Amino acid sequence: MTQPPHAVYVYGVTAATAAEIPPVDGVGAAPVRALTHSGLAALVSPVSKTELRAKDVRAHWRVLEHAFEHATVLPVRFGTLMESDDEVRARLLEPNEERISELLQAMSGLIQLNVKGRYDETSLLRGILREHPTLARLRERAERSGTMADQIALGQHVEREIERRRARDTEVVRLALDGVAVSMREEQVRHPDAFNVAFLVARDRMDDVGRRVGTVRAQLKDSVEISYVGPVPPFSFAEAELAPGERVWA
Amino acid sequence: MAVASRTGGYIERPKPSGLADVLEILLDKGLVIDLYLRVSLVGIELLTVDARIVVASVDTYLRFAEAVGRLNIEETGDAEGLPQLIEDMTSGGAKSKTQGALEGVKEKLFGSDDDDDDDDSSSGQRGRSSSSGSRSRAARSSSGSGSGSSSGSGSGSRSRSRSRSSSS
Repeated sequence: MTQPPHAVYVYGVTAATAAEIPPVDGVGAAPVRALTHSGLAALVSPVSKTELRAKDVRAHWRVLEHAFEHATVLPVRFGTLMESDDEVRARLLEPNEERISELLQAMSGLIQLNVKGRYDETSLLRGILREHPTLARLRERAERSGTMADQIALGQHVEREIERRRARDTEVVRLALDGVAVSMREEQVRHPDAFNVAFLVARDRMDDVGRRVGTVRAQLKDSVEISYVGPVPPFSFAEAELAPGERVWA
Repeated sequence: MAVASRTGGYIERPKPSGLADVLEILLDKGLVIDLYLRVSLVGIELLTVDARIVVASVDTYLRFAEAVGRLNIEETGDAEGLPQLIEDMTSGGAKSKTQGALEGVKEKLFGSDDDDDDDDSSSGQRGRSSSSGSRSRAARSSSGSGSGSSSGSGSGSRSRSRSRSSSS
């Protein structure tokens, strides 16, 4: 193995003026530092290993959570390594300075929250069957014939109806948050999850948001179990792929 | 809506963002510095990928068909059949498989502190990640075009990082 013996683990980027060193250990219990370049600071720590484990996920979160208490932070995706301090400056901060500054500006004072919904499968399917007589017919046919083709046809229809419900229920969330959320994003979900809507709001609008989430919960209470999670740094809204400068890692 | 006025005075508070709640976000979101290395994630990445693979595959259709078929029986027998039905559905089929994988991740993340030692790359863990890897591949190859749209751009960077880490 020809792994570099030392590398730099990158947690996130913040404005240099706001960069406070989180008083917590980073990945591999290494101390976290702020590497500054022009107006930006990257939160980093030295790392010598090439495999990350569960506790490193915890460390990543711990660092970002602390940094986020004091400043606007753009989280970098978990598991990002660069070769050296110089490289963080030359390949991350320098070539993307404008882009990162704009993003930081746009995220200033904002937090991310998520509203997630989950179906109870049994009541979901029962509701769908009640609503769609076609499905009842397909179900009977599948039962009578027992063929794979009929089973698949039935399953496809069920899935399509679930998709439709998801869209409908997601719309309830969107409408409720419209007007308070600066931005919204629907995350991908898998059955039996109904939706996962990430949204950005100003920190001081939490009460307003809370009231609206209460409305969503009340409106969907018969079919969807709601959880309301956050605040976190704007993970879902800092998804840009940054262009590195010339690659130097051989 | 009438509902809105009924809940007028009620303000919800979000759950404090413990690691468990933000796990998905944490592993899957954030700035990506293109071309740069994402290190191999022992026992974490493959499992999360695996847990997400629920695509519009024949398996999924068949499972829904089966679930709906059982509802039919349950409707005639009514209330008494329900607990059994729920138990059946949570212990069988694709759902339990993905839940198992996800629990595997959570277990690794929130398990006892003994887990924290660097020598926690036990045979169990390695075995789990490699078997889930082959399961992912199998699920992907049988799922056809649906899988691309369902796993999105994230899987692109994941596979890139995986091949990089194994070749270096």
